[in-house]
Amino acid sequence: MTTTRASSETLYWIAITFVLFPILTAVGIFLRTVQAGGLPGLQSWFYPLMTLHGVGMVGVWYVAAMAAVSDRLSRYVSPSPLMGRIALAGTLLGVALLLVCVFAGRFAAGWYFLYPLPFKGEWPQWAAVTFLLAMTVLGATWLLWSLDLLRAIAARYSLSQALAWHYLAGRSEPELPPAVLITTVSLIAAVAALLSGVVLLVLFYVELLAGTASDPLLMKNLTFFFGHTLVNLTLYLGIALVYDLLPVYAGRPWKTNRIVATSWNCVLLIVLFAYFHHMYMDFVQPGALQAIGQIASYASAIPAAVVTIFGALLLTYRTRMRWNLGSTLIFLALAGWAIGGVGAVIDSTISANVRLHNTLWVPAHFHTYFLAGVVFMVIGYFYHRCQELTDLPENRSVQRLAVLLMVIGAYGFFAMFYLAGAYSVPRRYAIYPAELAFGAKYAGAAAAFAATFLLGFILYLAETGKRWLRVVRPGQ
Amino acid sequence: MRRIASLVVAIWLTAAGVAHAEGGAAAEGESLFSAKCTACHSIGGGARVGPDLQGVTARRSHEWLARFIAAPDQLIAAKDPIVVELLGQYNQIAMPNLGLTEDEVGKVIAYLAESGTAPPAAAPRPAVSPMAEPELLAPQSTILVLFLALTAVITIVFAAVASSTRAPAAVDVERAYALRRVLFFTGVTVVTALLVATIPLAPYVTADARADRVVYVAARQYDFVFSDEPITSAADLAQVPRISHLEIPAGTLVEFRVTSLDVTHGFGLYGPERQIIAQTQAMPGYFNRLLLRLDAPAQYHVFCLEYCASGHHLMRADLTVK
Amino acid sequence: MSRTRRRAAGLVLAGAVVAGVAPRLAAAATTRPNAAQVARAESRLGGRTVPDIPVTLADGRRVQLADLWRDGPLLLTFYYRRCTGTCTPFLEWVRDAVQAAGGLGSDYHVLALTFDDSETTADLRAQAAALRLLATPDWDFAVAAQADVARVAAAVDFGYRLDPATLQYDHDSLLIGIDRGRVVRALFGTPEGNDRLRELVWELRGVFLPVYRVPGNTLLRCFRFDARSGRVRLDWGLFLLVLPGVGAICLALLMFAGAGPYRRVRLTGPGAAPTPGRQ
Repeated sequence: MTTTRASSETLYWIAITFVLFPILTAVGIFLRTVQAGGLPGLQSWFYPLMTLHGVGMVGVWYVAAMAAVSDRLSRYVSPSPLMGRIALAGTLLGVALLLVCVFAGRFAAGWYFLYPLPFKGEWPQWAAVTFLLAMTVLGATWLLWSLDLLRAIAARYSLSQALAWHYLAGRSEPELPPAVLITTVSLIAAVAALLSGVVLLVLFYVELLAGTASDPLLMKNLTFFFGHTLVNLTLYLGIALVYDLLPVYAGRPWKTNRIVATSWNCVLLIVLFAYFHHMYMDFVQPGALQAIGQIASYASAIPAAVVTIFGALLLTYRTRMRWNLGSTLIFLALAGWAIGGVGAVIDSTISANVRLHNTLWVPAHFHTYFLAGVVFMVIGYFYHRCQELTDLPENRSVQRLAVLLMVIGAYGFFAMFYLAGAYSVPRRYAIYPAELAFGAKYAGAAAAFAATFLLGFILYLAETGKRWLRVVRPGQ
Repeated sequence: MRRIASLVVAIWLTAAGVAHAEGGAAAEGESLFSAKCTACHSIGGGARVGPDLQGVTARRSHEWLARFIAAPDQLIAAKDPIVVELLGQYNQIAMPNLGLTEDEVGKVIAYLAESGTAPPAAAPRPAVSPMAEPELLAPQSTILVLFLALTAVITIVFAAVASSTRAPAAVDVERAYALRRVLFFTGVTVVTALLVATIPLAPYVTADARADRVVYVAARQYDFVFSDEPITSAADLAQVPRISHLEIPAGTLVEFRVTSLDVTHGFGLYGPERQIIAQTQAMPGYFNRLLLRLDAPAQYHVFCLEYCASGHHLMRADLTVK
Repeated sequence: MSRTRRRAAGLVLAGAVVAGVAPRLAAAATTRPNAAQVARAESRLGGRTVPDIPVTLADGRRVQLADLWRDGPLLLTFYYRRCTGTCTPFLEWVRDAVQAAGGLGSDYHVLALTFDDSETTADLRAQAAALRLLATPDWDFAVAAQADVARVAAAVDFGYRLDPATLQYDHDSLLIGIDRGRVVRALFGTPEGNDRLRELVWELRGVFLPVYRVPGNTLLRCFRFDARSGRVRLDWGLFLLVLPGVGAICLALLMFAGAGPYRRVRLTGPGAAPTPGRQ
């Protein structure tokens, strides 16, 4: 099979990710440094930058995963190049608005801007409006982008084929790549999440313009339907890449079958109900929904662990694996997903959530499956893509060092979160009270580990960046 | 009929208000202060989000205070040297406009002047020196150990699979699928068992439970107000007596009825071991009812567990069980 | 004194109870006892112990209050027979609301205690008859010694005062749910609608309401406590939560249906699945 050309949008997305991710990581290191007691003069920037770090990371990895999946899926279907450019422009506009409201307006309502906080902070009203506009631009752009990718899939497969229902009926023709199935599932759920964001924003605007207050419980449900689901789907987009890439390196096929089809169809249902676990400490939410939250969160572990991770391990077991920077990162990403998943499932247990809700355990588990999961998957794919386009000789020792630094840095960084979380240190505290002052120690260590990660990422960037440059300017 | 009733009550309330106003502008200033200022300022209790205001009327001129309290944004925009210095000291967190009338500003200043000379009403919370980790409580340590054990298993499995690629060989797919079946059914069984075992442990009160003591908690940016009666608006703050220090006899079944006056906060109750023993969200519009028995006589702390803007990490309260 | 003025006086007393404990009335004080003020006055009574006094029932039996709440929760209210104001309408409301809420006898009993100690058992029976409650076994009317009534009234902030000019009482309207001698919840005044009484009845039955709503209206809530059934019901706000899911499915169907006519169905072919080897 021939290598498809990379579209110019894909190359732009790779560049944007490579610029924004280290900057946002540095912002994260800044946050942990302030918590450790460093940089006292800049303490007042903690919450605005926390907001930037959160929105930025969620946004960057959603678009990076979408870009990677669009690129990979263009082997099977044809996403519209025009839509790709609109997505790029809309995202950049949204980011610009976000930077304005954070740096000029010190907007600091956090990445999920829980109602009614955007209206009730120390920042000016215009900053809140700018933030809501940024969210509107990003949400609308991504909604169109997701719909276009669905359209591209629909141009080749019927809905029942794209959801692999013929496999459920025992037929395996036409053959459906798992990546297409997973992407279809993820996109339908992503459209739901983004529509929830639209409803949420409309209610915000109604209050802004007409002064009609909304029910905070309804707004919180909408917020997490939007936020949780979108983050969750970013991960699933990464998994779609894994299903498509791992066979390339393992030299064995990984095809859709009845079990894969069943589990991903279940995921479509489960993923829409898991977000209830964000509401456990709202006693006003009826108990039945809380129980559904725990059941859905647990249930999502079965297709993940038994089907995908088992499948990936089986694919890798005793094969002639071609290990390089890309395949190593993708393999490690599955471990990160599994470990973060364990942290998440524990936290989604209502009786454990009482002890963990809004402690550092929460960033602990989502950083695990985001940083050591999605990020590894997507940057693994980006490396793979640049390498397949250039076929430069691979420097194994630099690549090993990059992976080693990133793994040590990332897991050391996570460990500080998990430990502090177990000790009930709250998340999102600029400074710890005396009773929890030991949180500062963990923060300091975490900053050092995160810096180590960043060093590893810079090595990765050196390896991938030169290939990217070669693609952009083939003559040099 | 109702209109007449309303009128009578209105007259009665107004009369009471007037009678009270005659008691002094400072007293009225006090209720304004408690409604508008205490989230960020104390008098003699140390700096919070903004400075301690004890003796502020001696430090600053009446005219400057009146201008600043009436319209902080104007002095900030004018780069008033005192304001610039204060912003530098207090993390650039600007004082918001409070919407006070000129008359009300005068009353607040009268209160500041009166209480600035008097000894502080309550001793400031003694400074606590930074503390090291406590011993983990049983639930917390179970969680951590479980997590570490499962992480170790995952690490070992991934390491084993990765190293198996050094000795490539054909894999019996049928055996692998048999293993997957076993794993699937084991997984489903374990997950179901865990759900059945843990869902009933959820901290929601379902059965009849009558508390020995009901404590109302009004969370707001950036403190928790304890009272024996519900506080549901900023106006109530001035009308309902607060519990300045909450003391609860050991062994009491306490019901915290938690609400918020502004944004969503978290009511995180930390036990004597400085770890979370219970929590609920403080959401405007609702009272979340949190019931628990407080047995161990000690100092307990409440920390805000839902991000609520710049003073989030300062938002706390203490209570004593004895 | 007209009924209107009686009622006004009752409200003033309720207001006085509210205001008495909260002496400082800030600028925002509202013009009549609003829902929040009533809620505060009621909350004050929660958990209080009701004195166990001897009472005489309409059939002439002398019992202790404790005898009445020994077998189950007790709903206690106050009245006096000669009242030309709120007492009769209030008792009629309680009668109807209790009937609507259900559970009388099986879940709780009702006792109407007169605070006019000059009444006789004949007066009690006459009152029961006027309310058509003579044949209702779990509705009792009782009279007690003036000092004993005063103790109970003081324990639950119930205000009543004889006006020597008219020989009528100025008084509140109060309904108290008692379980094992302690106040579960109290309702001041005639609640608007029967929902608050129904909530009280559910609490007497031992249903724990995990949340109380703060008085005030918000458009579109997700859930509400349905006082009729004692369950949490879905409210219209939840529609907005279902909307995105339904919308996504509709949009997906639309995309796939719209693309149908142009679909290139290829049963097999290159690119259908990744093949091993370098790509």
